[in-house]
Amino acid sequence: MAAPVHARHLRRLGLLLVVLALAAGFNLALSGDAGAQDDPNLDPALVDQGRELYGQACILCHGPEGQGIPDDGSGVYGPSLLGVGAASVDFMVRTGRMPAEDSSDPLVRRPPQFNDTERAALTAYVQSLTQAAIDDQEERLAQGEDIPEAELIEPGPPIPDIQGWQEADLSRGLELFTTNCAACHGPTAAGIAVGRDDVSSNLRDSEPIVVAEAVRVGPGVMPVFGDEVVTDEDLEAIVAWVDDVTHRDSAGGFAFGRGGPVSEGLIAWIVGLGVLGVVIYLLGEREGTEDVVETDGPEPTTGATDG
Amino acid sequence: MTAAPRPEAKDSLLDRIAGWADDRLKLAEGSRKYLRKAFPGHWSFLIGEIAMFALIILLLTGTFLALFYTPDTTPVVYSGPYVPLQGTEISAAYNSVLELSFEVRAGLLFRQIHHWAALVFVAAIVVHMLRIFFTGAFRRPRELNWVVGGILLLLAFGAGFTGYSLPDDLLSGTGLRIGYSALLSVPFVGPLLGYLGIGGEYPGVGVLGRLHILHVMIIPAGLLGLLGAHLFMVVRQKHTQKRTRRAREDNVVGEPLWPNQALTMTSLFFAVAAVLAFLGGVFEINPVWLYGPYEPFEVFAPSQPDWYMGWLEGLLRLWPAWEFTILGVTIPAIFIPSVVVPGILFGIVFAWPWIDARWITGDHAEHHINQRPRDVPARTAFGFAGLTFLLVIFVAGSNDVMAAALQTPLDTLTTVLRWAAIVLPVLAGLAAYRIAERLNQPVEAAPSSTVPAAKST
Repeated sequence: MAAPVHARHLRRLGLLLVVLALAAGFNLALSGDAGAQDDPNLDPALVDQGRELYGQACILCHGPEGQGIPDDGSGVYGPSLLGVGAASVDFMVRTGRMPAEDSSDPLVRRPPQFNDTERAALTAYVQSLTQAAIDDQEERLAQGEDIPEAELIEPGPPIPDIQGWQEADLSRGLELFTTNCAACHGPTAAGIAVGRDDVSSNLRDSEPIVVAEAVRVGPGVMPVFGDEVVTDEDLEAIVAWVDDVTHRDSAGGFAFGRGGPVSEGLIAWIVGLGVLGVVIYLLGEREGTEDVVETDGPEPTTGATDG
Repeated sequence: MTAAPRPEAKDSLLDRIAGWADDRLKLAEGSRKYLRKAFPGHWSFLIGEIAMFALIILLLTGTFLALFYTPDTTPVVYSGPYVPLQGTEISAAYNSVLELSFEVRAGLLFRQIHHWAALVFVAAIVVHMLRIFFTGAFRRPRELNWVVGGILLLLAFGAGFTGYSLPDDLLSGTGLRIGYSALLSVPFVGPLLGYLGIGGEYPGVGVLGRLHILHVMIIPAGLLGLLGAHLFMVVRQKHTQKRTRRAREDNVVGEPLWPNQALTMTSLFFAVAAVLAFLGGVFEINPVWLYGPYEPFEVFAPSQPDWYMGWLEGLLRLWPAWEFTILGVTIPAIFIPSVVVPGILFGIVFAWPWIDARWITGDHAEHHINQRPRDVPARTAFGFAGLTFLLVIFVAGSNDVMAAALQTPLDTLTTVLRWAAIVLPVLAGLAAYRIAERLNQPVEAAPSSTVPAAKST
C-alpha cells in the first residue's frame, strides 16, 4: 500500500489513510455479502411478489403451476415454463417479448412491461415453480416411478455471468461470432431474414446481458448454445464483439445502417450518378442555342441506302 | 495611347515550342479539323463521358492502392491498430488492406473513392447504354460500336468482380466462392476451368495473384484499348444527333471541341472527381475490417455482391434447384442461372442491332438522327420488358435484406419474385408499347419528316 511511503513524512495522515481504507474495504465486503444473499431463488418475499405478477400476466397461458396450457382450439395456450431456466424468463420479460397480448402473438421485441424488481420477482417465482416440479420429480423417482428421459425437468440455464465482458478478447469474439452467429445475424449483427419465415434480431439495441441470455436460451428458431459449446469466457467475448461492432465509430464515414452492398449501390446511384446527372443536365446546351458549329456528316457506307 | 508594337509577342515561348513540335510531328493541319469537331450539346450525350471520367479516377486511385496491396494468402499475425483483429492470423492480402485502411495516410479515402468510382462507373455505362438503346443510336453504321460498348460493360463487370475479391475478407471470399462454383458448374470442362482459375484445389493458393494481375493489368488494358476503339469509332463515324431544326442526316450540329466542348468536358471531369471524392470522404463503403478474414468454412448473411452483379445473384436465388443429367454428366442446378441465362441475355444485347434491323424495324438503312423511344414502340416495349426483368431479378438478389426490411417470410417473397420475373416484364412491355403508340397519335397530324420508317411495321 502507498500509505507507509507517505507515512515517512506524514505519519499521522498515513495512519488516517490506512484506517479509512480499512473501513472502506470492510464496508464494501459487508455490502458484497449482503448482495450474495440476494439470490432471487432464496428470497421468499421476491417469490411472493413474483407469484402475484405471474397471476396477473402469465397464468392464463402458462398455467397455475407453470406447466403450460395445450392448444385445444380455444385460442388461449402457452408452453410449459418448467425448466426453461432463469435466463429464459429474464430474457423474455426484459425484451418485452413476454407477456404477449394473446397466444398467437409473434415472439418479437416490445417495450418491457415490468421493471427490474418485478422482473427479478417473476424470474424467482418461475424458478420456484421449476424447483417444486424437480422436488416432486425426485420424490416420484425415489418411489421407483419410471419417468422418460425426455420428460425429466432440469433447472435450465441460469442468467449468465458476463461481468467481465468489457475486458474480454475482441478478436476471439469476432472469430466466435463469425463462426456461430453471423450466418443468421449478419456480419455486423444487423439482423436478416432467416430460413423460411423468420428474421434475426438486430443486436444494435440489445443490452449485453440480453445477447448473452439469447445465446444460452435460443429463443424462437435460434439454436441453444450451452456452456459446453460456448464457455462463459467465450460468451463474454461474443458479447464484447457484438457491442464493439454495433457501436464502433465507422472509420469510413456515414455508414447508413451498414446495409452492405445493397445500400452502397443505392448511394452510388442516388448520390453518385444522381448528382452527376444534374451536373450534365446543367452542362448540356438548351435546344435552340445558336452557338454551334455545323460540319458534314459521316461518309455513307456502301449500299447504305438499300433498304 | 502610345502605340507600342511588340512584334516579338507574336512569337511567345509557347508559340515557339508549339512551332518546334509541329515542325517535327505535323499535327497542326489535322488538328484544325478535329478542334472544330461538332459535339451534340444535349446533356444525354454526356452520360458516357461520366463513365470515361470515372474510369480515369479508377485508374488514378487504383494505382495508389496497388502500391500498398499484397496479393498473397500467406498467413501473418495482425498487429496493426485495429483492436478486434490484433493477434489474429490473417492473410497477408487482408493484412495489407487493413494497413492501407488504417495506417497509410489517406489510404482509406483512396480505397473508398476507388470503390465508389467503380459503382458509379458501371452505373454510368448502363445509363449510357440505355440512351443508345432507346434512341436507336446503335443502328447502321454504328453496330460495331454497340458491340464494343457491350464488351466494355463485361470488362467493367470483370474489373468489379476481381476487385471485390482482392481484400480477402469474409465477404469477398464468399463472392469468390460463388464465382468459382459457377465456373465448376460448366459441364465437362468445369473442374478443369476451376483448377486453372485458382491454381489448384479450392481455396487455392494462386487465386489472389491471378485476380490481382487480371484486375490491375489485363482488364484495365482491355478497358483502355477498347475505350480507345470506342472513341475512335465515334470520331470516325461522327456523333449521332438528336432531332432538331438544324439537324439533318448529312450534317452534325453541335459545339466545337475547342473551346466549348473542351470546357464542358473539363468541368465534367472535375465534377466527377468531386462527387467521387465526396462519396469516398463522407460515406463508408465495404468496411472489410468488420467482416473478419476469409475462412472457407464460414459464411454470413446477408452476403451481397456490388449492385451491378445483383441481377446475377438474384437469378441464382430465384432459379429452382433443377438438376438433370445429359450424356452421363450431371448439369448442376446453378449452371443455367449462372452461365446459360446470362449468356443468352448478353447474346441478345450483342446481337441487338441486327435483331432490331431484321425483326423490329425491317430498316437496314443508315441513320445518324436518333429516334425517340415512342418512334419504335416494339423496341421500346422490348427494352422495358428486359429492364423490368433485370430489375426484378436484381431485387431478388437482396431478397434476404428485403424480407427483413418488410418483415415478410423469405419463402413468400421468393415465390412472389419468381412470378414477378415472368409476369411483370410482359406487363411492362405491353404498357410501354401502348404508351408509345398513344404518344404517336398527335392531336394534329405530324409533319411527314417526323414519322420514321419504322412506323410501317
